[in-house]
Amino acid sequence: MRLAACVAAAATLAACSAAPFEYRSQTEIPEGPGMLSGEAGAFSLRAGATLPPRDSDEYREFQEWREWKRRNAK
Amino acid sequence: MQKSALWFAAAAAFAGAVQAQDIEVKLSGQVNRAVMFADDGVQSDSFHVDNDNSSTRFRFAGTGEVSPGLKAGLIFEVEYQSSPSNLVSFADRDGASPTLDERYMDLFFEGGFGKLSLGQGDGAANGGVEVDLSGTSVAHYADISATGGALAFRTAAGGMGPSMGSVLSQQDFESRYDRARYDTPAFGGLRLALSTGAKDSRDVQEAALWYAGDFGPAGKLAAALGYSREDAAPGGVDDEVVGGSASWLASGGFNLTFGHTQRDVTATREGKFSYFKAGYKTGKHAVSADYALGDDQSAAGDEAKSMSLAYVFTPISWAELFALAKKAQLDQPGTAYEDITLVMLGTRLKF
Repeated sequence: MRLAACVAAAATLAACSAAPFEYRSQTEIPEGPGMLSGEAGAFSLRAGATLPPRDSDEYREFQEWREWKRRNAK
Repeated sequence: MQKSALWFAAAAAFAGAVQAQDIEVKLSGQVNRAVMFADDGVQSDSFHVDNDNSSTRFRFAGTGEVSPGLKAGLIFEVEYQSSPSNLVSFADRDGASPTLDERYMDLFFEGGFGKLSLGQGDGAANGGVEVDLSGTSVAHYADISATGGALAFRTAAGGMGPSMGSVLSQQDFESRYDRARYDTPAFGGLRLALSTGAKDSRDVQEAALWYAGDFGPAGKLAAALGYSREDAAPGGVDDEVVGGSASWLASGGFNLTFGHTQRDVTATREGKFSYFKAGYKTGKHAVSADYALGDDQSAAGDEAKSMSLAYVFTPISWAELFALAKKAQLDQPGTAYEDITLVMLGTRLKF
């Protein structure tokens, strides 16, 4: 009987014309801006974002330095 | 030959997926500290605590597109609490030395089929008795024992009784554990969640219905209905919990919340918990009053109550200042216990 009532209540809610929204517990880390992370709300670590392009001077200089380091290893 | 072809096809598909993905990992967290004053009728003292309503924690979260329409992600979240508000007591004002405690070590795949999760994370019904739209959950919500849960009820002569947490547990199903979980896509705001896994070396299964709908001028409604079952310990009974909660937030800011659970504690005893909350929020302010009842949780005939008032001020989106005043009572056949009174003032800062 209880199960039937629950199923009926669920079906009624699903059939309502309400717009779905994402419920989020307020006891989780809040969404939105952070004190240190600013507007983004999080520090972003993007794969490859810190490496310069392969055809850049910065990348070529880094490769040259690495080669020099390899040759002059103690 | 067939194996080689299969391997090559899989490798090519994987390489394509890797090239296509745009993976970003985000680090976020919060610090939540408070000063708590408690009086159990025999002793009174102050405590510097980590607010266990929403503990100090940080997380790494990342998502990437595996293929069009299929997303993969991970969540790694740990908490680090110094003197948790649910563990401090007059005998141990520090609670315990801070340690990194796991909350989520979870990965998931999400697409048109729904969401499949694997790892340490929420069981399907976790939070099902804690649905709350009041805006004051950082100060108080259905988890009554999150503030002062380790404080014991005392007799006038100083005798120790059960702790607040053992008679006023919200019995929120099986919390987080190592599990596989499936969530259906939402149909009109309604979705079904199922999970199975292991906790404390015992098998656990959970099922829950979750609902979240915005009725425009009539406000928002969020609700959950859940069931959990943990296999019995040797000589015990299966730990079964049934219950749910609903919270309605009117467009004007008035809100109402209700929750209820029943748990098979022994073969002859069923622990019950009921929760009521009424509140109002407007702009940067939210205020609420709640009332909780716990029956037969620690022993047959136990009747515990908690009443509290809370105020939350959010001057800027990343900072909340909160105040809580709470009184807890225990009626137990044959023993008279003093009331426990609590006041807590603190702040949660998201970094």
